[in-house]
Amino acid sequence: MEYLINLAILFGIYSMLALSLNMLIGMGGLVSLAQAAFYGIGAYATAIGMTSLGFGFFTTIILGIIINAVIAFVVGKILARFQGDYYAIVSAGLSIIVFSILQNWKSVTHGPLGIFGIGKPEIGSYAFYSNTAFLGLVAVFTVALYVLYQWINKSSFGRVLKALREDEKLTQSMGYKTKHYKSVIFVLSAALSGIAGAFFASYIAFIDPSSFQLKEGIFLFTIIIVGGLSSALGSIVGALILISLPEVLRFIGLPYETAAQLQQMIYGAMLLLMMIFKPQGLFGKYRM
Amino acid sequence: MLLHLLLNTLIVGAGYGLMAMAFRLMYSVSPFFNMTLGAVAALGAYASYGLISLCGLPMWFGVIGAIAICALFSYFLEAGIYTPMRNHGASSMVLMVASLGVYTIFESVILLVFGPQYQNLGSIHSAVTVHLGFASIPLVQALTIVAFFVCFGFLNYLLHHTFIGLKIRAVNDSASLANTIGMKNNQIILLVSVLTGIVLGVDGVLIGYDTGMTPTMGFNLLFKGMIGAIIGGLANLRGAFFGALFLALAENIGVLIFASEWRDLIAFVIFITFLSLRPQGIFQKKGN
Amino acid sequence: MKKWLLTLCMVLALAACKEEKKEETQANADNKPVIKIGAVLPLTGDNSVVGTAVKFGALAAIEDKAKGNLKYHYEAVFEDNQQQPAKTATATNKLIMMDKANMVLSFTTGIGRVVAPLAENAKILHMCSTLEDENATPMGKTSFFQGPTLQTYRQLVFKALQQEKVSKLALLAANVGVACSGTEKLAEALKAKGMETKVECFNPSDLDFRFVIQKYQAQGFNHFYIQFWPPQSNILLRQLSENNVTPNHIFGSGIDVDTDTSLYNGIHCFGGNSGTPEFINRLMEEYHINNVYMAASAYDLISLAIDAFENVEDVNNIDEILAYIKAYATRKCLSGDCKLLNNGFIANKAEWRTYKDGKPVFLGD
Repeated sequence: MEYLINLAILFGIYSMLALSLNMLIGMGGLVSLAQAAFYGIGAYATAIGMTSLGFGFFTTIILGIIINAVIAFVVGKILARFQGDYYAIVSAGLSIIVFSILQNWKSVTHGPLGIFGIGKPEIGSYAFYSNTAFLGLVAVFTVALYVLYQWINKSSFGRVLKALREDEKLTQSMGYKTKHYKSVIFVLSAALSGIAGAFFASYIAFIDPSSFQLKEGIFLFTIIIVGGLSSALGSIVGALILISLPEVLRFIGLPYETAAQLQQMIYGAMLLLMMIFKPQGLFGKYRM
Repeated sequence: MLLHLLLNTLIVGAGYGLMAMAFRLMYSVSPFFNMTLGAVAALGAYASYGLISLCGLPMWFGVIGAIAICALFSYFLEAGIYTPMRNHGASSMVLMVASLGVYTIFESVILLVFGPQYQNLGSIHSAVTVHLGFASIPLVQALTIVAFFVCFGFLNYLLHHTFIGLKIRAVNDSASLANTIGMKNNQIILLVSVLTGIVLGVDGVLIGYDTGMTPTMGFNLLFKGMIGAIIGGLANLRGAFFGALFLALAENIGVLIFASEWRDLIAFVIFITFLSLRPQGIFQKKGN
Repeated sequence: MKKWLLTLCMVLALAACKEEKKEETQANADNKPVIKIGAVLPLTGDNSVVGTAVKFGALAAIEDKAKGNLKYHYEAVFEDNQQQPAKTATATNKLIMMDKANMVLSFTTGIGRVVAPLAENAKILHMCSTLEDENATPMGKTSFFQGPTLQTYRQLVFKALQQEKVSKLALLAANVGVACSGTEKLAEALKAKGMETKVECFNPSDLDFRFVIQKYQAQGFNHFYIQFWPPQSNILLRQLSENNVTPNHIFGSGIDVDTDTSLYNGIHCFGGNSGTPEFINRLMEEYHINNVYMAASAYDLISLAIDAFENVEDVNNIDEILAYIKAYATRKCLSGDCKLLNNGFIANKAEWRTYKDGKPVFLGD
């Protein structure tokens, strides 16, 4: 049971990431592979904020949101020059650049040594030491994000976003400043990923750059490809499937090499098969 | 030092350049970011390892066999996956994601079959060296430079002085027009995939003898080749040739002035800068 | 489509039927109570070569102890973490909560830092095989780390450098774990002793060092210190040789871990935790591996743990176990003269060796 709680915490974190990415790719049609970068920046904001600067967890979330918003604003502007698959490739490049900075800017991030001893959230005098309590907090934020996603989806902002996803020129000709909409959703998506990063940092209590490479961004992308683009439910389902997969393989009892490789093979096969048969994902509403 | 810089740029640029030319060639008829090109090159290294070290075949036999395997692999990927998907209306984004899936599967298969260990085809003791006055380089590096020039010459001749080349360039210029006038586009694409497979096989084998191979080598090589091709300008082969050399030069200058840690960062920053400021690359389209 | 699936199935079948390596512990013939020794190691991924070595070091310890008359039957349970913090947390939780492991073995301080609080909360023993700075913050009340101390190590390297009369040294390190920062500290210490040093660190994906070697040669550096694991260490040695750096001008840490020891002829190799040549040979032959890096400290830690379990009244009483270990950790061990320092760090020897005709020749410690 305890073990399941731990899995559930990771499931919650990845659901948050999937929801924030789906806002960008599903609603906005902006295929970005750089989400791991903002996830990482949020995690480091919490790590550095709590260990070196003595801030509380929730303060570091706000810190992370601000930092991510600023960086995402700049990055979003760079990416906005590109379309379609070029957008994706450039976002991949940006992910690698951010990882490189996390790895080599040792005075701030300690590079590959990582940052350890990250504390748990505290509200007043109560600290979320127990895993069950931590899970509760993660669940609250995940549900809040889910609700936020649906709210944006149904709002006029969401409608314009989806319109520009389908046909940007037409939407522009109707008077909407599509550049602003794209910028806003990119910044929002990045900030929300940073929140997930904060929870990750606090939960594991140690982070290093290796958790935030391009392959993490590809993994997040796989989650929403499988679960469904432009679907909140799809984000959750996708996260559930891909988080459970290694556990299922672990308990079948294959030798480690086979289990790890099989896991990777299945991820790859999911991407391929989804593209061939159901490019919008299991619950998705948008085709790339 | 300058001579060393130029020589090293030539060697490294040749390795990137074979991939860059292959990428450009394939992209000209099948315009999507094909991740499996990295897989084909890695297969060149591993196939020759398998044939020569594991099965004990003589060297030349193994090398030719490996290149043939690469050509076949490239052909089957195109015929079995990309062409059918393209004919069903898949966008370049969908094809890219599908190729990412295939690459992931490929990497895990290599890991399963060969293990994660580093392998090198060449032996440290029998390295034949070529003496150049100020430096001496191993034979395989000299061969890489030779292969680079030969491939360029061969592909250039093929594209500009043969009928097949004309057809390829026609599909590149306008696939729909070519189709209208009765050219069998699919056949051209398949032929190009075989050619690409051969070039990548050569690249893979040479790398296998020089720096050696790891299961993840394909992805990095692909990105470097892709960056080289794009900054040189995807319009023509010359772009790939010089773009790769330019990338190698920039990396080396970066290493000289800063440190190796920043090598990846420099490559991607240049990539994004070029794409943002001069998207057509160094060489403008002059009608091939 | 079907062709691909078929090929995939065949490859999987092939892999699954691969020869079962000797890795299971022997059967519990006498039905003694079982003690589970859990281990979280990088069994796949970039560091799998070293993780596998640690695994077999642990298994060798269990095997050797089992030859004696023991109260308990010891079973090893391994989990793969691919050297990633998130996977480490899940794997450790699985070992503690589902397998009910009595102890957890980990590898490298970074990962140890994830395991330590989890082990402390569950009140079980945690041991970590590492090559670390002994001044690193204590990880947790139930954790012990073993490796050579940086001070011992640095003194030995300096001795070697003096013997070779080195005045200018270029230090190259991998940007992994403490390799880079440790090398930078080493460079500073050497500078303080009057040597001219330059440090450069490389990302793990970097496979091309030629230009950097030439860059330093152009600046008059003919001696190189390298701190890398395979595969980069192998590539670097080749490329140094290509650029005519003679073997006795190369000082390497953690590099001599390949079966093809002819690569290391004449090179100065440092690092502890590989054990004696006999131990190295035994692991290679018995377990069909070609890398035994850090296996010796794993062997020592597991042996110590088994001794603790055998000699306390109640194996579930962590205080008894900790007390035993604190009392007996200082002793002769495979890694050479284990000594428990105040903060839970068990220091062992550092080693200086070279190779002649492919065989190790010990030069000092």
